[in-house]
Parts: sequence; C-alpha cells; structure tokens
Amino acid sequence: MVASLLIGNILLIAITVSHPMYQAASKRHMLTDGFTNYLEEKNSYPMVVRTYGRMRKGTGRSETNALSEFVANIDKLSGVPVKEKVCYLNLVTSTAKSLTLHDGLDSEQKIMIGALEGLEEHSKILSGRMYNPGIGEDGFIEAVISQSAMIEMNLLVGEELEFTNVKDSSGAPLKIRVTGVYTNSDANDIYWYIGPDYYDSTLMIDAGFFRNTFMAKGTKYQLNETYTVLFDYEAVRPEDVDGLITFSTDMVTAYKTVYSEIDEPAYVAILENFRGEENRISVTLAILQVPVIVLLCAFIFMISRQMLEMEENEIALLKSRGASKKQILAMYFMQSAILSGVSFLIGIPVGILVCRILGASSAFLQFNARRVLKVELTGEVMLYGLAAVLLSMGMTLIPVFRRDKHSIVAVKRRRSRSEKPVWQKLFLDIILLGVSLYGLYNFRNQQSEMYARVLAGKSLDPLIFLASSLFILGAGMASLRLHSLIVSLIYRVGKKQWSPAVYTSFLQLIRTRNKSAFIMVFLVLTVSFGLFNTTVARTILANAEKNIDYMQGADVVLTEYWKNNVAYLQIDPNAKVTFTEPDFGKYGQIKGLKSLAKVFRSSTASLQAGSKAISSDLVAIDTKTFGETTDLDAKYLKYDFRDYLNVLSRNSNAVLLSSNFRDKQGLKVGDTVTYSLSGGYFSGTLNAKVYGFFDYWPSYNPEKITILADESVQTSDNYMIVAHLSTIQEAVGIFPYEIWIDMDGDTDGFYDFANDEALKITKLGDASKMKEDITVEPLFQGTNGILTMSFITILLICAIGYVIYWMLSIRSRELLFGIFRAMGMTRGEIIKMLACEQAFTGLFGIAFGLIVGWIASVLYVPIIQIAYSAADRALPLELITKGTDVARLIVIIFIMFAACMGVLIRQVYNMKISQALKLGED
Amino acid sequence: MNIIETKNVDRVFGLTGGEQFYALKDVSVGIKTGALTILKGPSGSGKTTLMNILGALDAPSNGEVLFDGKEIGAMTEEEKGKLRRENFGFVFQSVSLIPIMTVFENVDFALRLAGYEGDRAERVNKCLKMVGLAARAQHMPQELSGGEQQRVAIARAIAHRPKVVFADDPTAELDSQTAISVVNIFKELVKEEGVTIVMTTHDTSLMSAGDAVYTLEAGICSGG
Repeated sequence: MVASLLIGNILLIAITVSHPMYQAASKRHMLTDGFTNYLEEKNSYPMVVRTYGRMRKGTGRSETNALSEFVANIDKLSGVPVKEKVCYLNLVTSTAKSLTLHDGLDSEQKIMIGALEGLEEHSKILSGRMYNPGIGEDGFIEAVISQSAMIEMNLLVGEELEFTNVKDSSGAPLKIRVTGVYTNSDANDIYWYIGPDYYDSTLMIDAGFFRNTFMAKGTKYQLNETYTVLFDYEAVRPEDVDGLITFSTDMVTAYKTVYSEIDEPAYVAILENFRGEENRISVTLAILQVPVIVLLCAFIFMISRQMLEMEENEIALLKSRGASKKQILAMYFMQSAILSGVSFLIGIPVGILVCRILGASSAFLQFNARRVLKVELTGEVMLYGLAAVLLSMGMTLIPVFRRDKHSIVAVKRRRSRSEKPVWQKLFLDIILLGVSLYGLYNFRNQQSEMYARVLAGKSLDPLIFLASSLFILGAGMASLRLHSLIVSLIYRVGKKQWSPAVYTSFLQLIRTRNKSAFIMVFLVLTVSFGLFNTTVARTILANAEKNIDYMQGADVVLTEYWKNNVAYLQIDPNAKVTFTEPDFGKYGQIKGLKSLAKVFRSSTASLQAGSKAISSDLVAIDTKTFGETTDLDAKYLKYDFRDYLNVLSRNSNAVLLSSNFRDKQGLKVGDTVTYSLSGGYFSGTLNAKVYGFFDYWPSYNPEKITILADESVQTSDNYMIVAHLSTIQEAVGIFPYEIWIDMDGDTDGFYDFANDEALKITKLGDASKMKEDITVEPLFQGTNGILTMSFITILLICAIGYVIYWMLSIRSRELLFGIFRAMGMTRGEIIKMLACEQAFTGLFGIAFGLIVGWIASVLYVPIIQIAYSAADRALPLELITKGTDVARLIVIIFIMFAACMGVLIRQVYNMKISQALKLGED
Repeated sequence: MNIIETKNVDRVFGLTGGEQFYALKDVSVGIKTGALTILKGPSGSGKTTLMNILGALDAPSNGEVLFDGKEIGAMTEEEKGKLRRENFGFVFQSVSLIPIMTVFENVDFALRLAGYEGDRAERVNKCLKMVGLAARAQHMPQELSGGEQQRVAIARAIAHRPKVVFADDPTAELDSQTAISVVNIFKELVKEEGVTIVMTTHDTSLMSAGDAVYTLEAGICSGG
C-alpha cells in the first residue's frame, strides 16, 4: 500500500520533472538542428558576424576603433563563445607597376595590399615561401598571393611590384616582392569562411607589419578593416535566444556610420524561426502531459483514501486517547512529507530516465535506442519537482482533512449507505462534458483561424488539448451513471432467476457504488486515454507520411541538371534557349529499380474556361510508365487510378482536369478546351478534349493556403491539368522534367547509382528520408514520447490501483465471506460472485473506455492534428488506430484481471470460516 | 434420538514454538432432536470451537462427528456446504447480517441459498413476524439496534426450515432484557417449528431455558 503510494508519488514527480528536462533538451537539440540544417543547405557556416571599418585619410579612425573594440569583446557582450575571428586589413586598391616584365603582364594594374591575421598558421605554401615581416635590406616588402590572385593578376613567384601612389613615411613608393603562393592548409578550416579564392587581387603581407606601417598614429592611408566572427553556435542555449536576437539587431544599428558597418547577420532568421517553434512545442507538450498528471493525482488521492480507511480504527483510538485534531494532522503531514521526500530523491533520476526514453521514441510505443538526448538538471527542473511534491502532499492530505470532519460514528454510518460519488452529486461529469463540447464547437468554427495561427508559427490554443482531456474525464465519469443504470436494469430483469452468487454480486455493485465508482472511472479513463493517445499518435504520423507519399508521388523524385544556354541571354536577350536532355537510359542501371517515369511539371499553365483564363498546374505524363511508377488509393478517386490513365491514353490530345474545373468553372467531360503554357523559356498553346475529372492526383493539392499580411488565412482553389508528355514536348520543346523512381525496397540503390554516375541533381526528394525526418522533429518526437509515456504510466497506475482496490475490497469483506460460507455458499460460488463483480466492473470499464476513447478521437483528433501538419494536408484526414495497440492494452488489462482473480481465489481458498467469523467478534 | 453426535473429539491448535494447545479434548456429546441444547462455559473454554465443529464450519483434529448417523468428516467441502445450506442455520455472536442487503433480502438470501421451493416472500414475512420485525423489512441492517439485528439473524437462520440452528453466544452484546426475549424466541421455535437449537452462552441466568446443558472447562466437556 505504502509502496504503491510511493510508486505513484515517484511517477508523479518523475513525469513532472521530465517535462522541463525534455523541453530544455529538445529545444537545445532543435536549436542546434536549425544551425546545422542551415549549414547543410547553404553549405555555409551558420553563425557569422561580419563588420567593416573604413579609415579615410585621417577620418573614420575613432569609428573603426570602436568597432574593433566591439569585436574584441563580442564573446562577452553576446554571451556566445567565439570559435574563430578573422581580421582582414587592406589598403584601398592602388596601382602597381611590375618591375619584372614578362609575357602577358600588363605594365600597370590595380592591386590591393592586404593582410590576414593568422594567415601563417592557417595556410600552406604551394610554391615559393612565406613572407618575412618588415622591409628587407633591398627595400622590398614580401608578400604571398592566393592561387586565384596568381591567375587573375597574372603574377609569378619572384615578381616585384612598385606602387607609385602608395608611399612610405619617407615619401618613396612602396615596393613589394611576391615570395610565394598560399592556399588553405585544411579544407574544413572555418578560418577560411571567406576562402583564399576571394582574395584574388590582394598581396598578403605580414599583418603586424601592416598595422605598424599603415595604421600607426598620424598616418593617413585609406584602408579597410574587416572582421569575420564565427560563433560557436553549439554553445547557444535556448534561453539565450531572445537576448541574442536583440543583441544582434541592436549592433547593426549601433555601428551603422559612414566609417563602420555590421552586416545584418543571417543567423537571426534561424533564431527567430526557433523562437516561433519553441513556443509551439512548449505549449503543446505541456498540455499533452496534463491528463496523466491529473490521473496520477487521482491515483494518489485514491490510495491515500484507502489507506486512511484502513487506519480509521487507529485514528479513532488515538482520538479517544485524547489526541487532538492538530496532532493527527501533524502525524499525517509528517508521514506524507517523508514519503514525498523519498519520492523526490528517487523521482528525479527516474525523471531523467523518462526524459531519455522520450528522446528515444520514434513512434508510438516504439523506441530507437541510438538517439541520445542531452539531459540537464537545472533550477527549473528542481522547481517543477518541488511543485510535484506539494501536489502529491496535497493529494495525500485532502482525504485526511475531509475524514477529520466526521466523527467515527458518522463514518461508520456513511460507509453503510450507498452514496453517490461527489462528482455525480455536483453534476461535475455533465459540466465537464458540456465545457469540452462547447470548446469543440468553438474550435470547429475557428478552424481556418487555427490554421493561420499554426502556419504563422504560433502555438495552437492549448485549450483544445485540454478540451479533449476534459471530454474523456467527463465522459468517463458520466459512463458511471450509465453503468449503474445498466447494472440495475440487468439485475431487475432477472431478479427472480439469479443464482445466489450472481444476485449478491449485483447487490454489491449496486449498493456500494461509491467504492467501485473510483476504480471504474479509472479503468474507463485508462482505456479511453490509451485509445485516444494511440489514435492521436498514429494518426498524426500516418497522415503526415501519407501526405508525403502523395505529394511526392514516388519513392524518389529528382530533376537532373540539364546543360543549357540560359546564361547567354544576358548577352542576347532574344537568343533561343535550348536545354540538352541528359541520358535517360542510364537510370535503368539502378539496383533495385522497379520502374521509372518522366514527369514534366509546370505551375504556370492556364486554361481558358469560358471567358476566364484559369491559372493552373500542369503535369505531363507518359501514361504507361506513370501508372507503373506511382499509385493512388482507390478511396480518393471515383474510379480506379489505372482507369483514369487508360482513358487518357486513348487520345494524345486528351486531358484530365482537377474536379474544381468542373465544380467551379462548369466544364464537363467531352468539352474542348484551350490551355497554354508559358514557363520561363517556353510557351505554347494547345487544344485538348476533357476526358475526365479527378479529386486527387499524385502531387496535387486541391487547396492553396496563403497567409495574408494581417495573418489571416486564405484558402484558394488549386487547379491541375494532366496531359500527355509527348504532346507537350511536341508543342513547346523538351525541357527539364522530373524523374519519378519507384524502388523495390529501400533507396540505397539509387544513391549508389547517383554516386557512381556523379549525377548533377538540381532537385531531389526522397520520400523515405522525409518520413524519417518527421520522426525526429521535436514536436513529433515529443508528442510520441509523451503519449507513449502517459500511456504506460496510466496502464501502470491502473494496474496497481485495480489490484489494490480488490485486495482491500476482499479484506474488508472477509467477515462477510465467512458468513456466506457458514450459510452454505461454497468457495466456487464465492469466486463466481467475485468474478461476476469483476466482469461487471472490468468488462464494462473496457467497453466504456473503448467507446469514450473512440468518440474522443473522432471529435478531437482532426483538430489536434492541425498543430502538426497544417501546411501539408492535401489528403483528407483519416483516423488511424492500430489494432495491435488496442489489443496490447486489453491484453494487459486482462492480465491484470487474471492476476487479481488469482489473488482472490487464493485468498478465498485459504480462508478459514471459523477464523473469518472471529473477525466479527470485536 | 440425537441428530448430531461427537465421539471423542479433539481440536488441537499448533502454537508458535511447536507447543500444542487442546481447545477440545475427548469431547463426546449428543444433540437431541427438537430440543434446546446449551453449551456453557467461560470464554476460552472451547464452546465456540465445539459449536463450529458441530455446525461443520470446522473439522476436529481427532474423533468423529455424525449428523443423522452420517460422518461429517467424510464429506467433501461441496457436501458440507450443501449440509449447511439445507439443514443448518447460524446466528453469530456479533452482527452477522449482510450489510448490502435489506432485512428482507437477508432472510430471503438464506432461502435462495437453500433452494427453497415455496413462496419465498411469504416465508420471509412469516419469519420476520415471528421475531417481531415485520415492520422493518425494508431497512438496512445498520439502521437497526443490536437486539433487532440479532432477531433478524435468527429469522434468517430458521427461514429455510433447517433441522438445526446454531447460535453462538447470541446474547453477548445485548442487555439482559433483550437477551431473555431472544432466548424466548428460541424456545418458541423449538416448540412450534420443531427445530433443534444449539446455543452457547456464558450467561448463567439463561441456563434454565435449556433442555440439556453441557459445561465446557478448558476443552473438557461435562453434563448432558
């Protein structure tokens, strides 16, 4: 008993503290992801600040100095450690005359004298040698050049240059000798954020010497000082983000002068994006945990009430010996404080474990052990833990307070009466149901606004999640009313025929409603939350995956790079653009290839419907290969997908149109239509005959959602024309098309092929990778993790609660069993009686739970799902419940029943009638 | 004619430490049909143990118990249940009513168990009238006084017309006035329904009511 109270407490604390821990960890993960995604996509370091200082003949010095000082302290000011700081100094372009004339060298050219601090450590010499600092005895300053400078400026090692308009302090022109060619020593060195090729007209001299010569006090050279600061983005913590955004935007304005400037840093967008996501996640995940915390509280309340009932006699005894109310309360307070303290100590490590499990979840009830989340103990975590302790102490002490109000006599009397549970007297269940349904009604009416919110990166109204929990809670309680109604009805129907065992169990159920009510509600809640949770988790994931498959069309969709003469347009705008089709036959070599299709797409087609030109998407296909490569579930179409293709294949001028052409524009099958294509480099007008309409087509989204400036959402129709590829190519020419690839199994074969062929790809989509990606998205992952954890927790507390309830129920009825046995009831009959009781609470609990869970899913999942995939929902939502999840749930509950029955049977068999009867003799 | 007989019955309890405690030692008694037999003795003398053995609620360690000449020890649990259900009625020292049932249902329950053939409601009402509680039929047991509860227990014990009614110190928690009225009910039952009654008591004032009195002292029985 105490053990289960402890378990309840530990779970409560663990789950509560896991929340901030998981959030912190996953936010961190998300933030780092934001940076690394940028790195991968743009192939550029994600967190960089570039500053420019300009000194012009005696002005700009103080501004530049202020900027340099700012850069020197930027780590302290921003709070983010700096990984690399590169300072590039250069004199403005000056004219140099080569002293060593050789072929191909202009006698005079524009060259910059510059210096990169730290160049010596970060570069290697390809030919010649590194410069020596200072002016040599022969009056030459030594410099190195990059490979690009060598080519651009046509310089050689050993070249000597004289700068006629750059003079030293004595007034003599500056002379520089090229001693070597440098390049970056390590390809991945972030020092070369700006690569050596960039310095294609700079002679690099020693930086210290540069400063002494050109930047000393009193000198009046025109020069630039450029800093590139690379921050250690992995050190950015989620809590720093706000400050960092302000810092970064402030610095841009603060240093904006004629002489100094800071580039608007690109990483601010990453941070801002994170801030939006973060908000969405924390609210969503917090609300998801509410039901399980409520249930845990209820569990603790129930156990502590039961415990109190057992200790009633002791309390009465203590009271009769003169213990005051205060003393008894203090005693229980101490007891619960100790319990909570122990739970706190154990709960925190368990919370860390829970958090790890959350991080490893890849789908509902599925884990991927390789994923490791960095978990930290922070002050916030401790605060949550403390709050959980207070909550659990409250839950333990409430029954004590309540009990204390009644005298022992009143308690005994109350026990005997069949009393309605408090919530039924207060109509709490009806109120809860009302509130949750009202919420649902409201949300249904605001669906478009909800889309807008989510698309704008805001969190979904937390009340929607709460409403679903309230609904389950309310319906769970309300099902009790139905339960007692049904039980009384069955009892009445067969009142005369019931065997004594069944008769007694009916009376037990009907007359001790209050006691069994709690466990019934618990059971209903377990099953319905279980069902609801699996439905939410499965539905969200399955629909996201389904949409990916649908929008993608095939396992791999790619566009290869086509050689073209587009660049030539800059010279001759009227030139005819030609694209060279790469070899298509080679794709046949892909290992594990099932089929291939060429698909030409254009989003700038338009179709003449009456007097209006409707802009539309166009997909041009080869019906045979298209049908082999892609598919569409029959439920989205009126006829079989292949039938559409067969119909289309009958006529090369046939087109299929999206059904909104029919419904909104009044076109019908058999109409002759004119449509035109006007892409960037192609145009053409074609006549076609409409052969059919479709609601859905691979990669076709019937609705276009746009967010307006005022953040409201506008949905507009999206049109699509499906035509023959050969017809389109004939009309407008051959332009880059997509290649849709259907693979047998995984896509590894494709990547091997792409590698071997060194494919140049301009666009690539891999459905399996996209699906994999969504499972690691913190929102998805957190949702799965929390739903799984809640499910397991609910199951656990339900099992414990159930067994405890029965054990106590039996114990408190031992005398009664003795009487039954004395009156001639056999053990078998007593077990039958208990089994019947269990069946009526258990089976009803499961049945009600399934019904409530299903109704809740149907009502609330479509709305909850908005939070997860507002942007890409082309296909209608489908509720997914995995039978195995439900089966698992029911099997576990049945095991629980069986365990209970086992214990009960043992107890009944071991019971000595004469001893049981003695219990009555006190 | 004895309806129940014990022959050299011992009831031994093993105590912690390996000692043996004889709750009953070599007890041979005969319960006469249609008579009120009283088992008396101080608490701990073994009278409840003996009654439990007579009522097939407990089994003797040695010796045998015969009901209508049949050895009870040879019966299965099932048969003992049937025996109790059909032939025995019990009244216990303290409250023995089923708390979830009304007074009426409590009495009715005994009839259900025994598979009573006739009109159950009529029989229940008759029994309740016999103990003077017909008016309280629809009350819950907790709403009655101790004496009333005991009278309901008696009504329940006799309802299915058992051959023997066992009453284990039924007056223990009653005031003497009520106790006498309970014993009077027993006497009437013996006279009118012809039941055999076995009653234990430590109240010496009730001895005179018995047709036969056995005295138990530290597990040893005398009298008859």
